[in-house]
Amino acid sequence: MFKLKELDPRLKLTWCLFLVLTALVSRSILLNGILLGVILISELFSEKSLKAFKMLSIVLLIIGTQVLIINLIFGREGELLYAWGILQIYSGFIATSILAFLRIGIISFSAYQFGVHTDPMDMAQMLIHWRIPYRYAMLVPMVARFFPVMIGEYQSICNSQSARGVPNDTVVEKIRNLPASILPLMYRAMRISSDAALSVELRGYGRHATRNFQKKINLHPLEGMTIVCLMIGFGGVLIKTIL
Amino acid sequence: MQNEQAIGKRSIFKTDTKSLIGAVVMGIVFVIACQITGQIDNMLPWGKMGMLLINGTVWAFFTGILTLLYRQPGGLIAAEVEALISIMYTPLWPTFIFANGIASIWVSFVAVKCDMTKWSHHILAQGGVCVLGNAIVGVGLVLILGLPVSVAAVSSLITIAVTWPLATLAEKKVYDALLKSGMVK
Repeated sequence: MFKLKELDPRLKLTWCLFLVLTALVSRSILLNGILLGVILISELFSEKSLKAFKMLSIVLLIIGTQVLIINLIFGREGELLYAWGILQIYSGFIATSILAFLRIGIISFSAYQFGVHTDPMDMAQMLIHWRIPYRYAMLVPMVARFFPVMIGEYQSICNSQSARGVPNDTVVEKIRNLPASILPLMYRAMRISSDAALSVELRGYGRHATRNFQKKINLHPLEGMTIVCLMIGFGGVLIKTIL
Repeated sequence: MQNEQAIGKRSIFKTDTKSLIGAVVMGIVFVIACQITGQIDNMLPWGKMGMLLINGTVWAFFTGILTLLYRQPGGLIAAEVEALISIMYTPLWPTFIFANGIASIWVSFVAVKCDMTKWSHHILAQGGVCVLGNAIVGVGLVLILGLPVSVAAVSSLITIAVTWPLATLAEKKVYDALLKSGMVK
């Protein structure tokens, strides 16, 4: 059984880009539907569940509903189905909304799949393979390291504000409290970044031109062939769409 | 910071470790701020119509101020951190990669030409950020979300009209405070 986590990051990135670019180029509902199905099946084969997509699916459903309503009201493709005053509904809104929904599904799920199943260290090594200095490539693992730290800092600021009795229920109160929560967060971010920068420099960050990794990434010949096949496949979609 | 480079008065680059790590951490703050304001916008009538006005203002402000604070490549790194983490909550992330990058480069370009002490400098910087950024997102609204061109154009124009003055005001106030505190030289 294959595991997405074990594949080379370059193959996963090519797969992600292939899906995103094909979804953007193609106007075929069938092709977009197949691609979305392939993403879901690959996730099922690899992880045995689609739990990773749960939250994103809810967000996409909300966005998809907004797209449907906007196309229903403002869409002018196809034949006129119904008219009442300035409101005119055309038949094309259904196809446009389905295509948009499949497209946003492919674009979001493919990128999310790449992000979730790729180790940040592997991404850093991938960038180093592309001749990017490791001082810059290592910023990817730093994002992964500091993201939960900053979320924790933000929650502690919100808890402090609540303990002080600052109301934060209505929209107006949330807007009013925005500077009171973001500005301390910015101050803490500057303090954390100064400490982190000093720490890594004292440990020799940036002193040498190269850096060792415990686990190295290696592109298997089969993975290399798959990358070439994906590129050819995208070329075919592009030519078919243009012609 | 022994590796810290001497920065010329009008230099576009600042490549010391403190700037790089600061850009990453502030990029995460940028993401958190955008998520909070996005949720606030979605509770308001214009947010339900797909126009994220408060979110757009915060986006323009952070893009500008982080580029002025960390220059390049720090500004670009912070902007791209926001764009890449936005994968988790919006399908418009491919447009954000280009919009954030171009907006950050524009601010650097303005900061090299102007000393950023006058209102006009900030108006120019934020004008580019709002117009270029929202134009690219407008293209994304058509290509990715499949919205009619007229709807995407009106949405982008309203967002530019609202975010430009608000983001300029915020950027000028915060930048002046940063200058006074000595964080920006």
